[in-house]
Amino acid sequence: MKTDFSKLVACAAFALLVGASAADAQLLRTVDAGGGLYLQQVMSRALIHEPDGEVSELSMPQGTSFRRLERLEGGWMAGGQVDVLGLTDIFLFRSVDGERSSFPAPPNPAESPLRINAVPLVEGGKLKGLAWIEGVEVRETAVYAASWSGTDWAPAELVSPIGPGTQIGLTGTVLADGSWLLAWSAYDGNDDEIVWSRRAEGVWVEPQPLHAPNDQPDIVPSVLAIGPGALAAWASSDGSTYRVRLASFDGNEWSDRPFVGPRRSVRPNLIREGQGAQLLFRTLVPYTWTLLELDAAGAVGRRAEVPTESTFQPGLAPRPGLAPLFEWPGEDITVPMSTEADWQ
Amino acid sequence: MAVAAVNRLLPALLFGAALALIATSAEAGDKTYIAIGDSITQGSSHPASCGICPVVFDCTGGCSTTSQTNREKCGYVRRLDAWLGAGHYVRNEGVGAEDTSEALSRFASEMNSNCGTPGDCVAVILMHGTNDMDKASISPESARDNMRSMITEAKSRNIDVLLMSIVRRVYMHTHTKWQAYRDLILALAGEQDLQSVDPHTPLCNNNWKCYNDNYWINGDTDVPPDGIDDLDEGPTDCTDPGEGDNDLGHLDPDGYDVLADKIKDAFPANTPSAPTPTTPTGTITNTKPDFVWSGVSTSRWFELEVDGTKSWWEDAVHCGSTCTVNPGVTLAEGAHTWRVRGRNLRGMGSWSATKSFTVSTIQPPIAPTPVAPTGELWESAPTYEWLPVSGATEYDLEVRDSGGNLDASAAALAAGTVCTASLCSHVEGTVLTGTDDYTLKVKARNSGGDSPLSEPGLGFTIRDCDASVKDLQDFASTPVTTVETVEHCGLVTAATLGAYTIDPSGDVTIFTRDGFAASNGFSVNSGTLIVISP
Repeated sequence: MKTDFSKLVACAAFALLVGASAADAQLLRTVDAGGGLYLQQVMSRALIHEPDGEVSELSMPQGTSFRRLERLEGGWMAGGQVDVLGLTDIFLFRSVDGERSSFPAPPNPAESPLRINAVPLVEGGKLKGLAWIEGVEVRETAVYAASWSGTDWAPAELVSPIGPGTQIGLTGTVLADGSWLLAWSAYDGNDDEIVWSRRAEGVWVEPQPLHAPNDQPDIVPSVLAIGPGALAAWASSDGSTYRVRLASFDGNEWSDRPFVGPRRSVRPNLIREGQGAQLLFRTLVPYTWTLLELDAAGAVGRRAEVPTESTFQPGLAPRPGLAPLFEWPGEDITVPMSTEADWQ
Repeated sequence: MAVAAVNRLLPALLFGAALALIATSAEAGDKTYIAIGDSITQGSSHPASCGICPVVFDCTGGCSTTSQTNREKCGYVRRLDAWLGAGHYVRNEGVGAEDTSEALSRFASEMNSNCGTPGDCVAVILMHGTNDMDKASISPESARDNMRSMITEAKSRNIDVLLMSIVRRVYMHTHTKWQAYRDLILALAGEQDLQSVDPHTPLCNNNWKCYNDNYWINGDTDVPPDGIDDLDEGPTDCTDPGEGDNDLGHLDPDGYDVLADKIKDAFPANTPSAPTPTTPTGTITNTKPDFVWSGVSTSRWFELEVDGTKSWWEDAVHCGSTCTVNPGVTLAEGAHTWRVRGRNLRGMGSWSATKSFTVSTIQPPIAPTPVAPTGELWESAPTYEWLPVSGATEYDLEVRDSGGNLDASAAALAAGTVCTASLCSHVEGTVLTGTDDYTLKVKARNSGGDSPLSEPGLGFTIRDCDASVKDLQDFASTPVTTVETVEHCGLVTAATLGAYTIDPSGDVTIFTRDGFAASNGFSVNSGTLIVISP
């Protein structure tokens, strides 16, 4: 990272400003780093930042929180959940050709009181399906998915039945062959492990562990289709701290790679960048956000870091060929604060 | 998108730096408490008067959006710190939006920074899990596991943990989601034997809805509690604080008062009273002794100090009415002192009285061998004899009857007898009680301790006179002339014996205790036991 004065001041100011106002906020981006599209949620407000710099506010029900943002042909779709009157249900919001509206969630014939972690599955800019977590309560949940015909939701398919504990942190991607790949954390009776399943030709394979079992939590997976396979990143505890791990999927099986994050690294997020990928994660003490370049096999390339205590996951401005520009909500939340970090 | 201008940021930077200089800090010797948590710990609030949407801090009644340092004065931390008063310092290490994986990842660093010197920190006040629920998608099981890891880290540093269940955030948490996390956190407190605080009841009347006078809720006018809030009337315009800047359900000042009061309830009124040290005391040979004390009921931790320089901390979780601790450190031969004091959330109690002991590696002697008395005795105050053992400085005798009971006189029986002869003996002045089989055992002692008792012991029998048979005096006037079953024992003198008439024609044998026998005309020394038997 360059050390000129203006950047240092900017970084310090971020720490003050963001740290003071970061109590409940998050920033979602599409998996395409260069897209310049992201959704910023600060308390009750959700702002959509368009690639052309336009910022506008979404109208959404009280108690809504978004977790996924996917680019669609001519627009985007945000997936989240809404808490209302003691129930939590899927909430989808779509923007196509400038028309914004809530999008119907799959039917809930069982009237489950808890449907969370909605993951839109998009292929070629078109919505193909949705995966979600459903149950009576948090610790008794199953994983479901449904395909979208273009006009209707097909009946829900059971991906993973209720297990010995919570299933949460669902993420997913559509692979090059059109199959759907899901990963989530599942409590196995001892601790959370990352598990995965794949739907090919309409059939889900039985969920399997993505990594060798251990005795400490493995949480918050992120998956990204790349080449014929995919990459997965997650945070793995050793009992005293977390560390970001990476695994690559060749289309048939996973290869667990060494830790790619240092000790005290958390909240990994995979981003598509050209033919490769980037991995964004947070490190605590010293507090930084780090961006790693990855190739299709998950080999680590360059690294860029921004020191900041911000708990916000930063946005990444579209800057093809240039050093990464990390962005956070500023004092005026419609105007991002930015800082540049050189590749190392 | 605009890149922030330096000239706009610099004033804020300088302002923050200035506040940092005047921020509350611990004084040397303060009892320090570390509050680890998220925005609730940080003190986030939304006073409508501040008129802005992003989180502001209710620190002094004013509004602040720029200062991390102001969090020292916010929320329950400020209130608890003020209540505890001088000599206590509650450090606010709350970080808004943080989840438990992040808290765990910074936890050891926070402990290193704030609790580097043993004894500096009394307790961690840990309240987390809120952001695991929705923002981070971390399961309640992993949230619990992360908190368990933090607790383990704190305990390894001899720091107590006050475990808070999560504050339900209206608008954010449905009851079922919130309860899944809350239940596991409270169960963790039980598993770890921690004090826990569940603020749900006072904040929400243990109802799934919460009092709206404790939360910033739509159009909050801080009305008295009515047991129900307007959850379905969410904010509609963030830019108008009077109509809904409060949708995250952070606590308002009243809510922080309630939360702080609930935490205060966990604090005992006083520091623990001084424990009573029990052992070690006197001379011991074990160089790694157990330390035992009593009077532990109000303590959660103990500091054991040996020789005024070395100290060990001990979690009271395993202690009952007494506490037994073995620091596992080898003590040198010689004199030592020790004392102990308790600690609870109020801080350290008074030291106990100082106990002294001596470590000596001299080995105790082996068990001596008793040699007398044996067989039947017609006297009840026998002479006890045993072979001395090397290195013994004194001996104790123990006599038990056939029922295994210590003889009534055993407490005083030859305790601490000194013997330097080749055969040790002791004549007990107190008679044994009644006809019975007895066992003599002996143990030796030196500065290294006591030997075992001699095993299996030496058996002997005390015979007593039968009151139904004739006494010697009976024969004086009525000489025995026929063989009859008579038996007599007792002490006679030569003078009295001389008056006896024993018919020599009678088939009578006179035995002395030494086996001397005569049919007639015998002489004995004064005090000799005589047995007359047909």
